[in-house]
Amino acid sequence: MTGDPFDDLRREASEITSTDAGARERVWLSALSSAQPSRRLAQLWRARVLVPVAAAYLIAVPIATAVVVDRSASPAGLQFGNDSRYGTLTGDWRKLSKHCPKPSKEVPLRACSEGARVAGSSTIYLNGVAPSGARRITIRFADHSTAAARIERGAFLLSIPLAKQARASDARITVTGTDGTHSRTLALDDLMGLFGFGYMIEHDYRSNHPCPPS
Amino acid sequence: MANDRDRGSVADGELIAGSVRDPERFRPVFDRHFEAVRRYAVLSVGVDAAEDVTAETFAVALRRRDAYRPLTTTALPWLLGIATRVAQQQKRGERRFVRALARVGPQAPFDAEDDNVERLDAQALSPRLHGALASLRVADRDIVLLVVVAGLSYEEVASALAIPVGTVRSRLSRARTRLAAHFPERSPI
Repeated sequence: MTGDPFDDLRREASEITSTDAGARERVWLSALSSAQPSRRLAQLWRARVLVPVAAAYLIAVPIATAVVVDRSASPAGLQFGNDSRYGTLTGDWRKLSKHCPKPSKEVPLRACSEGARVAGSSTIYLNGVAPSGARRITIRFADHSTAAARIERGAFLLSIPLAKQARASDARITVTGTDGTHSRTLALDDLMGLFGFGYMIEHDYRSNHPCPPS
Repeated sequence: MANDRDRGSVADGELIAGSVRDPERFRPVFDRHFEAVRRYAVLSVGVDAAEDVTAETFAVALRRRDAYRPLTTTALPWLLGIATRVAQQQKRGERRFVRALARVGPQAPFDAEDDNVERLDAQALSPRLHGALASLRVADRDIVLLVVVAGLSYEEVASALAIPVGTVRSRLSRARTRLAAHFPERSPI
C-alpha cells in the first residue's frame, strides 16, 4: 500500500501492452514520409526561395528605377520632409549623392540630378548640417538671383532650380551669423564635402515643389 | 532508470544533429523513445488514435530536428512536448468534426456538447484507469501523464510545455486529490 494514487496510476499504465513490430515500422515509415513529402518541399521552396526572391525584387526594383541607393533619412530630410510647404513626405526624400559626382567647376549641379531627370523634376535640394551660429544661408546663382536656405534645428535646406543651369563653382554661398556678420563668399563646391557644412544632395521627386524662401 | 536516460541522452543530441542531413539517422532516437511516446499517446487520446498521434509526433520531430537544442539530457521531454501539442490538435480536430456533424445532420452520431471526444478507450484501458484519467481536466491530465507515467521531472515538463514549474506542481497537486477518489483502498485520504 503506497498511499499515493500516482503509484497506482503508474502501475496500471505500465500494463499497457507494447505494440507489435509491424505497427512500429508502420509508424516510422509514416513519420519519415510525412517529413519528406512534396508538400514539405513546397514549403521549403516558398520559404527559402520564393520569399527571398520576392523580397529582393520588391526592394531592388524601386531602387533601380529611381537610380537611388539610399533611403536613409538625412537630418534635413527628417526635418523638412514633413513640412507641408514642401508637399512631401519623409519617405520621398532620396539621397543622390552616392551615385552623384561631386559638383565642381567642370561638373554642373545638373550632373548630380540624374535621378531628378528621370523623374522629370525641376528642383534639387541641398541639405546638410548648418554651421554653428548660422542664422541665414544664402545662395547666389550665376544670373545673380538668390535663394535663402531654410534653417531649422541645425539643419539647412537649399533649393536649386535646375533651370538655373548652375554649376557648383558658379553658385556662391554666404553664411550670415546670429550676430549679423557675413562669412566670406564661398563656392558651393568648396563647401560641399566639408565636414562641418555637410554635403548631401536630395531630391523630392514626387512633388517638385520649389523651396520657398524661409 | 535515470542512468538509462542519461546514457541515451548524449547520444540523442548527437543522433539528432547527425540526422539533419540524413533523416534515416533519426531511427535510433525513434526506437529508443517510441514506446514511451506511444504509451503517452494511448493514455492521452486512446488506443485508436494513438498510432496517428505517435506518427505525427515523430513526423514533427523529424521536420524540426534541425532546430533541436538539447536542454536536457534526453530528447524524451522534447518528444513528449510535441506529442502533447499533437494530441491537443487531434482532440480539437475531433471536436470540430463532431460539432460539424451535429450541425449538418439530425442523426449525428454524437452529442456535440457531450465531451465524448475526450473519451478514452475504456475497452483498452482498465475501467479504473480509464475512470481516473477521465476525471481529470485535460491540462492536468497531460501533466500527470508526463510526470507519473513518462517519468519526466517537473523542470522537464515545464520546459516541454513552456509553462512555469509552479504550474506543474499546482496541477499535479490538484490531480492527486482527484485521483485519490478513484483509488480509495490505497489512499490515506
